[in-house]
Amino acid sequence: MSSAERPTVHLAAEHVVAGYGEAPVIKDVSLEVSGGQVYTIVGPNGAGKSTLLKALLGIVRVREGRVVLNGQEITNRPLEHLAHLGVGYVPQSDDVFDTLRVHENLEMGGYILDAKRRAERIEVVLEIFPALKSMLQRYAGTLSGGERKMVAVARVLMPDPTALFLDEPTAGLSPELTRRVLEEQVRVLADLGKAVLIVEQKAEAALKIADHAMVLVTGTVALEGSGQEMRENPEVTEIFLGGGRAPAAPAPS
Amino acid sequence: MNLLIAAVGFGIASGAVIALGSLGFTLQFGLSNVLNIAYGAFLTLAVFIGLLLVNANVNPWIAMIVAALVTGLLSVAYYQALIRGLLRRGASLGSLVIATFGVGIALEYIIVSIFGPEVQSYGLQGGGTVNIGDITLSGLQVAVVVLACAIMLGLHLLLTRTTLGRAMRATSVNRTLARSCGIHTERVTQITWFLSGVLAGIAAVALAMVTASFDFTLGSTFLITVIAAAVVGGIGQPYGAMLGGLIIGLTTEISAAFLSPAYRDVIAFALLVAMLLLRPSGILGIQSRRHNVAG
Amino acid sequence: MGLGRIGSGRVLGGVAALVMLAVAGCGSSTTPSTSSQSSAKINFAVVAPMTGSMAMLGHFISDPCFAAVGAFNKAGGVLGHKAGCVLIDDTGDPADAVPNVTKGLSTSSNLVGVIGIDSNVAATVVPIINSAKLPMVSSNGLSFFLNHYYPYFWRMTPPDIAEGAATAIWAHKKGYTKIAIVLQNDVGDTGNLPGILSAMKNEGVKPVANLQIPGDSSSYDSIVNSVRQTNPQIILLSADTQTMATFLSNYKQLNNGNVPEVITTTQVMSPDFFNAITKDLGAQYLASKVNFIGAYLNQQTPQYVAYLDAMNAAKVQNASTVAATGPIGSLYDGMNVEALAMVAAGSTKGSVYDSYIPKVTTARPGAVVVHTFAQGVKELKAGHQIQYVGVVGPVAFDKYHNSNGWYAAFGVSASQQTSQLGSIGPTELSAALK
Repeated sequence: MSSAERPTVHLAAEHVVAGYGEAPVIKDVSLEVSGGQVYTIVGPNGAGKSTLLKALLGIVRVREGRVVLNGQEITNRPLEHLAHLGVGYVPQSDDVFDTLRVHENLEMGGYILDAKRRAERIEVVLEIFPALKSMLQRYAGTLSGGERKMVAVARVLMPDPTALFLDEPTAGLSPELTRRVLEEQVRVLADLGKAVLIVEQKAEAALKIADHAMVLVTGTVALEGSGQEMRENPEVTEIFLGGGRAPAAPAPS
Repeated sequence: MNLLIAAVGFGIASGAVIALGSLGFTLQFGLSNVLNIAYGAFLTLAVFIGLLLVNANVNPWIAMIVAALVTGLLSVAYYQALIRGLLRRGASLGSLVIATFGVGIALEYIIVSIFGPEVQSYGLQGGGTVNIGDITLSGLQVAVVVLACAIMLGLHLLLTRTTLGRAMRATSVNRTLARSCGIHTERVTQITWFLSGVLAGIAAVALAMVTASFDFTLGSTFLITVIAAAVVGGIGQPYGAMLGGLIIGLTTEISAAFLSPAYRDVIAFALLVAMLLLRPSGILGIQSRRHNVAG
Repeated sequence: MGLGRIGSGRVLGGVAALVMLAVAGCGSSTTPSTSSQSSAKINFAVVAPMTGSMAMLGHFISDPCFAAVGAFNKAGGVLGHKAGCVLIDDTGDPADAVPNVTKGLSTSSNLVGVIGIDSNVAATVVPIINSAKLPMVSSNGLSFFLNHYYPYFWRMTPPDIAEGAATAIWAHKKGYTKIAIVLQNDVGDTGNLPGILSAMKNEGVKPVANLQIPGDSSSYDSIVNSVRQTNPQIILLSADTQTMATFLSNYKQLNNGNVPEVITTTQVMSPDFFNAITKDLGAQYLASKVNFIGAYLNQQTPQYVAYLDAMNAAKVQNASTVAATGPIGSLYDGMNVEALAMVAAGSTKGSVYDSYIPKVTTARPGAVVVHTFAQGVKELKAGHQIQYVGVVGPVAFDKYHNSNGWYAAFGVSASQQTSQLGSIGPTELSAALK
């Protein structure tokens, strides 16, 4: 199936309430993202950004509301089923299989494919990330932060997913690497027609590639709008300063 | 005859059996983060299943296979009935140890109530004495070493060349990520528990064959060596278990030959403690940046 | 005698194993413990491991108590009191033995005497019982008691050191000079070593190998290898059944099927051991190459017949095998000695009858030799002095209350019938131990 024949992907969360213990961490959050778009979730530390992502994936239990992918409800669906529905997930940490070689990481990424298709996809992914070719036999745990992230993204692309959930893909990366990951990889994914939902701490850089964005504060949507609007909204910066954290990159004048 | 070379031969022979036993144990830990103390009772169980068959005039090698398969099935049943539920309820490592310890006691009690506390034997004749240079082994030991090598090679191929094996390693190191890739980690875990039961069965029956005499304490005694080998090599790491088994086998036999034989088993524990102090992750516990207990 | 050694190597096997064995021991018990339930009677305490890896031992040790009280009661009781047995679990571990024995002594009613006390706990438990002024008859093998005096402690059997000497003397009698010593490294087995070495020195022979091995190991290959390179004619081997069976199997496998003769102790002389050796080394090996050294028991005497009757009456399992074991016979004798001392003293009070113990055992002019409790009571009632000669023969306590009896060497046939091959007397032993 080529991406041209594929129906446009559409992911929606409707009034999601979710959390681990007694009090919900996520309180009534809704969002929508379609193929070709980057939806960025920013917010201060502890706002519940990662939890929101995990709730949408069924890793954290959703108590109220629902999650719909292409018209099909996937609320609290076991995570291993989502791969078959075209969902790819890159966690914030532990984003690769440390004790597996790079090529084995890619193969696990393509676990749901048959052997022939898996081999084809490895070729495709290596075209996207040619730098990986030289490190296929290395154990993922021995790679540098940037190399790791490359493996993580390459791995998630293996089954050619239509909806991507990226949890702080730039965590621990230098500002230059952050820019490159976001602009050269994440943005490109959306441009390939995928729906990209990205959680970022580095608001400034992340909003730059966003078609749509929300600011999450203590589990609720504080602000929401297009990437452009959010970048220009002084409140965004304020929230981050007020939340005790400076923006990751200085705001360009 | 060179005593050192002879001791190396014995070390390889006992190390091969320890490695097999340790592999099963370490796979369980790797996949489920469970220090399954009941593993000792499963070893004993396999030996007595083997005894039942041998006493019924079944060829001992066939008895080994049957005992291993049955132990594998019981191991999965045990995982499904107990371990899985405890893990889902978020049981701590400590309470899991206590629970498995309890099951181990109960299981041994059942075994002893059926088979009695007497010393038992398969009554195999050693298959003659084989001399390879300065190394002297019984034919049985040679057969067991060959078998163990074949199984370890097979396991190596499984883990590195097959999708199932890679999925096992992936599940072991990062379960959530594995699930997000579409891996049915529960099924992979069940298969691993089956495999670990099979390995326990083969190791235990092989041990009973070369030890000649055993009673129902075989498993719990051997468990300590098995754990030592797993920890020395790096717990949860299959190659660590193989290496740890060999190291424990060699050091115990060499020290028995050159130090006082009375210290034979002390060496295994000394290594265990030294490893925990110097390198808690074990010799091969280096590839993982984060210990897989975390997350 | 090292009664405390069985299974002590298994401590490494983990608590699970210990609990299991405890359960196993209880499960296989046929001891009629109900006889200790009725009131208005005197009780003998059996101090022995009733739980833990040595629980079997506790049940063996309690057998002569139940047999003896049965005989006492049949003869009208001790000074008119019915007698019973209470079991005090010393677990074989000194750490548990102290509180258990202290508690057992204070909570059991009408305790008049104690039997048992294995080697593992004797050093800590004997002083406690001694200060409770309860005469105790023990078959432990610790050399410690050869020169430490406790007024209420009476040892009916020679110590391990004498047993060790007896094994070496027996090897010498068989004409062997290339002798290897292999002992399990626990207190019971290694206690034999000084006696072995002393006797061998006396004979002018040096051991070709002298090794101590851990119990219940999965392999003794390296140890076997160093022993077999010395080409011993005979191995003085003392260990638990599983350790011996594994050691000898390893030996057979590494030495082209040839295993030298073995002298061990009656400690392992049981169907369990016979079966294990038969399975791994063949009935022929067991019958022609294995000798057992243990306390001498003459099975042809009338007192032995009475003793066996009492054991059977107490429904002891495998009574004829258990009865033939020296330490068990000596404990039965000890029960008789205590009870006869009570009758002679006219009191069941320990502090009163303790000094009468030598008075009913020492040979002296005018003393009538008696072989059973009933006979002794009859003679005492008739106003005679008595000398009890029991199943292990005459009892003669030294100033530390040790009685050094005779040793015998036993063999076993392919059909597992035991027979006595010869004996070693106190004179030979004391010469060897000089």
